[in-house]
Amino acid sequence: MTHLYPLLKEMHFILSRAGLILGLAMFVIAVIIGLIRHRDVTLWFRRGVYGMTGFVALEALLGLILYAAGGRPFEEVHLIYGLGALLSLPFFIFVETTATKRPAMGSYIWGFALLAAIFLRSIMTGASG
Amino acid sequence: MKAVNMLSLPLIFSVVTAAISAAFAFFVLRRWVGARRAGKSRPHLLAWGIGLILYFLGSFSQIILSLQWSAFFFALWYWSGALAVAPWLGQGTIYLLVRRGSIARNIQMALLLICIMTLPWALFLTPLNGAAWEPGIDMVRITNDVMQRGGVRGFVPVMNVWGTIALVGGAIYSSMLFRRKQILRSRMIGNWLIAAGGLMPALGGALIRLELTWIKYPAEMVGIILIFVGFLVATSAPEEDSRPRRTPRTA
Repeated sequence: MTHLYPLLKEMHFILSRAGLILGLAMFVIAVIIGLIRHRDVTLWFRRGVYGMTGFVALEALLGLILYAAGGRPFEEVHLIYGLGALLSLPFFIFVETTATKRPAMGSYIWGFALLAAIFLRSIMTGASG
Repeated sequence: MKAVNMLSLPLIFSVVTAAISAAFAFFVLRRWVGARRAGKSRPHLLAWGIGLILYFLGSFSQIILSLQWSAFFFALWYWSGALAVAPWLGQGTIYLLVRRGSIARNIQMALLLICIMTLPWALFLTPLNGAAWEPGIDMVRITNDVMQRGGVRGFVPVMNVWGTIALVGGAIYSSMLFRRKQILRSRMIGNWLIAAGGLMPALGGALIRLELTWIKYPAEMVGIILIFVGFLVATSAPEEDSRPRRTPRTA
């Protein structure tokens, strides 16, 4: 485990930055589709959302492994932000997929705005401080 | 004799507030369950029910804290009373007034997410200084000594302002609409009472800054009584009366 730890830590670091950029990109796409073009969620967008959910889950899993291996974040509240990031997209996926009124892209505008904010805060409280 | 010595006005106000909010929560949630069984969703009743359970938790924690120190109940008191009650009560009003798309449901999810994040933050990750506590002390007065600024406290102004605007503003908006259209007088009166009741805890919180901390306890008690009475008055109007006229449904 000791030889894997630096690699996992580096991955956790890189994926967090990538997550922020991807979250912001998805937010912009959601705004374009939902607010500018007034369209509903497309198949490819929803696939992207599911992919992003998996990405966040992987990032959280890496964090958990690092924690179990004795690593600690710069601030403990980093764990709370990790929990928030993990839960944010499933909540809004639920709202969108069960929405009776269409279009329902608004859910993902909310979801990715929140996700990006949580990612930013978790980066600020993570290992690099 | 010892028990009598422990009685203080904040404790008495807290007991009354806890009893009324528990009864009110039961009443509202029973209506929600009844509506669900009848095939209606009524999410505003669920949101109010959650808000009222939090109101109860806040005042119940106050009772515990006026008798003995508990870091768990202090964190629960702060989280439920200062952070979560107002936006959940406001969420019920948002469900009634904002009917476009899934806006209300999205706001609820954001609220749920913030509550899930802030609860363990307040309970387990916030350092508390229990040395500032003594039996019967006014909890509001020692908050700054027990809990340092920043952290989870950063959410409080945003959540409270948002919740109060939603609850009070929504109730005022509804009652003004009913007044203008000259219909459903009971709902108009009920909404005025809900608005007044929603303002009471906010007023109590605002007066803390003027060192009038003791007002918080009676303000919470009067607030829940007014909201309960307002709810009963507003729901005394037959529901079918409001439907064909396209007026905002309240309570």
